[in-house]
Amino acid sequence: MMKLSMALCFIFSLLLSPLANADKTILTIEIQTDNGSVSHHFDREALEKMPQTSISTSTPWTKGVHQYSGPTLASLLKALQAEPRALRAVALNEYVAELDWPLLQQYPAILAINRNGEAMRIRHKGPIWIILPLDDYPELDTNNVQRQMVWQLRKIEVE
Amino acid sequence: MRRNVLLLILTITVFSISSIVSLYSHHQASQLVSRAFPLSVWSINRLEIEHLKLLHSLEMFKAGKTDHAQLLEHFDILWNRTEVILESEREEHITELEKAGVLVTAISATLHQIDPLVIELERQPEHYDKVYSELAAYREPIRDLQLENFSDRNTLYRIDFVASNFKNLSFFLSGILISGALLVLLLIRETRRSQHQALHDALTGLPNRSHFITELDRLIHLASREKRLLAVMLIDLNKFKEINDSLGHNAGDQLLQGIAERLQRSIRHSDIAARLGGDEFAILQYPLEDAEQAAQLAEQVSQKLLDPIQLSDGQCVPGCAIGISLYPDDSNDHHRLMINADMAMYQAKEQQDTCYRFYEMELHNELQVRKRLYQDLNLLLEHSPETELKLHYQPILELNTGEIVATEALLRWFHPVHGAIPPLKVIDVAEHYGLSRKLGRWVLATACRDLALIQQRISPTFIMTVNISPAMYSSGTLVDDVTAQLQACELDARCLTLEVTEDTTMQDLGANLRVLHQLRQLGCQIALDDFGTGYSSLSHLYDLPVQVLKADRTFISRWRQNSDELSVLRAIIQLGNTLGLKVVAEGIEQKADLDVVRSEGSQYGQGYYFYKPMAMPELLAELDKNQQVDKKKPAI
Repeated sequence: MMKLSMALCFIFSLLLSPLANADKTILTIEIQTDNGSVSHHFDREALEKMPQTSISTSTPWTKGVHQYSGPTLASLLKALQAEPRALRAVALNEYVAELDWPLLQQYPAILAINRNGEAMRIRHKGPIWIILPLDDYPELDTNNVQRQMVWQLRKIEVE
Repeated sequence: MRRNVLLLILTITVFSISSIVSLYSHHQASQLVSRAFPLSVWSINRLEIEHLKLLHSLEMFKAGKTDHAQLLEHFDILWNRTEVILESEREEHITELEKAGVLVTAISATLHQIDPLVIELERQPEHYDKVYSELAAYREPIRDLQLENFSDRNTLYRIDFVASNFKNLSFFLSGILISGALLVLLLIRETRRSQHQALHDALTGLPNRSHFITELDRLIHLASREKRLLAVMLIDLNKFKEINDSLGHNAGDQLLQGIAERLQRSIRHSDIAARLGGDEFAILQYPLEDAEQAAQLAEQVSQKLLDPIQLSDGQCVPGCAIGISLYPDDSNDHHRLMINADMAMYQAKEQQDTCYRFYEMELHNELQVRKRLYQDLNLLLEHSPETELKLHYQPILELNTGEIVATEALLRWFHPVHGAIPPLKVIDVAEHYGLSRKLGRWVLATACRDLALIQQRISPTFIMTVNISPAMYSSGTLVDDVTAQLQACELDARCLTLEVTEDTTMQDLGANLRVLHQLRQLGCQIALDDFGTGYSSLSHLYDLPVQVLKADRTFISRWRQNSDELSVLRAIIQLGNTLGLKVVAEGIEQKADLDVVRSEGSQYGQGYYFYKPMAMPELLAELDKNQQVDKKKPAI
């Protein structure tokens, strides 16, 4: 069942992606309901309009401390009135990571769209990068958390 | 000792350093292999996929099947990958892998170089070939890296470095092993030494008491299996206390060491010599053919200990007493064997001829009886001495008149179980257990009370003589006791004669002389008992405040056996007369005895010929008779 749904999602997202590009969508939230799935599309502007949270931190993949900002994942899902049982993040390079929803609620996990006040290019892990305050919470410096810090994020699947 | 501590510290240091370094290099090596491998597999794999996707995207773009934005996305994704590999601290080890580092750096440089061309590719398609060929050039190197990642990891991950690391590791590991082994050796040596210390006497190096007892138990088992004899010898030095007191502990220690050495030399290899503590040594002799063999060893040891030992402050002749008990003859139990040997040792101390003695059953019984007698005597003196203790009196006569002028009080103990106990035995028990003073007081009190009675009935000048035991001297209260009794019975001190022997007086001449002078001042007369048998020194006759000499019974009995041997008796009587002393001849058993002593000039006599010792009522009766005879017949 799981595999099937993943496969479906994959195919579905492939179908959607040119469409997303066409209308400047950078993030798709796909919510699975009992009556099939509903997709919400966000362009950069929409995300910028939401309340912004900024986090200054270093990461294992970059040099030095940078300031990242964007809406929190929690506020985004709340706005969509989603009550996730499971979350999955999908990146442009088809990297997929299961997200630990209770953990990401507990800490301010943001969908960073800016680094040091500027939009991030894809080559610099944009357009969206899931950022957690690693420096403020040393307990987050684990493989499990790092695995969830997906860069080049393009879609979140909610179950 | 200092050297040992240094060695120990050094070994522990080497051990610790080796351990830490080994641990560190092991950690390093394993980290290098275990952490680098899965991450690099992932990263290089992603690199290859993203590179191929970009090439594919380029081809699709050329064919018009995908748009420029899609191409740029794949370009950026590969860009990001190289950036991640080159910048990320997590991927540092990949760039440490020489080949991978060089390759990714080159790819990154190429991406920077063709970046403007790719961006402009939509408008300037003529650059397509250049872009494609630049990127496609990396297909093979990336593939090679991937393959090498699996097939030839040794060079890729610099396993040679790991191997050299292992070389270091084994060097330090051998450090651990060697220093660990050294530590174990030191530990074993130290344990052995402390075990030896626990079982041996530090001064002499001989086994100590607990070791000795263990060995005794072992030999008892062995002897019972092999059905042979085992001898336990306890050796007590005669002079140790004096040496220690007079020459100091150093000399005492030298003496003990000397003794230990001689004991070691006296015994066979199978025997064991031990120091039980203080000046007490012991030997276990096993195997043993017969008691005679034990006697030989004891004789040999006691002879060896009679040779002078050289001390730094002179020399001394230790001398010893040895008590021997035999397994299984005397006991099967180590405790009993020790006690028996101990008893035999104390007996050996008292005997003159030989220095050793075997345990005998009678010895044990004798001591037991003595202890019982002490308990009985103690109880008796506390409560009702008169029920079993009696004074018997043996009259002393003036030979010329036949008149009884005095009587000697003699102690009798009629024991309900053992019957009449000899006076010397009673004195011995009292002296040994510290009852002399109590007993002496009772004797004095009874004698004085009876004397008062006699003086009332017979004559106010009648004289009582009482024997003084050595312990009564040394009690320090003799003079007070005598004074008290005289006063209690309202007696003239001149009527009380105290008999002392030369032997007891000479034991502590200074103190005893003072006591005798005090008694003399009180008015008492002093009689020297058994004169001529002890440490007779005529000069003592000047020093001692003596008024009476009692010539020992042996002189008259010798004359009885051989009529030529009269000279000593004669000399004593003449000596007494010359010095103005009263002479009492003891042991007159027949008429002839009386005649000879009277003719030699002795004034007084005592003996069975006249009277045996008797109880007070008989004495009174005899005194009555004697008075009547005396009046009728003035001379015997």
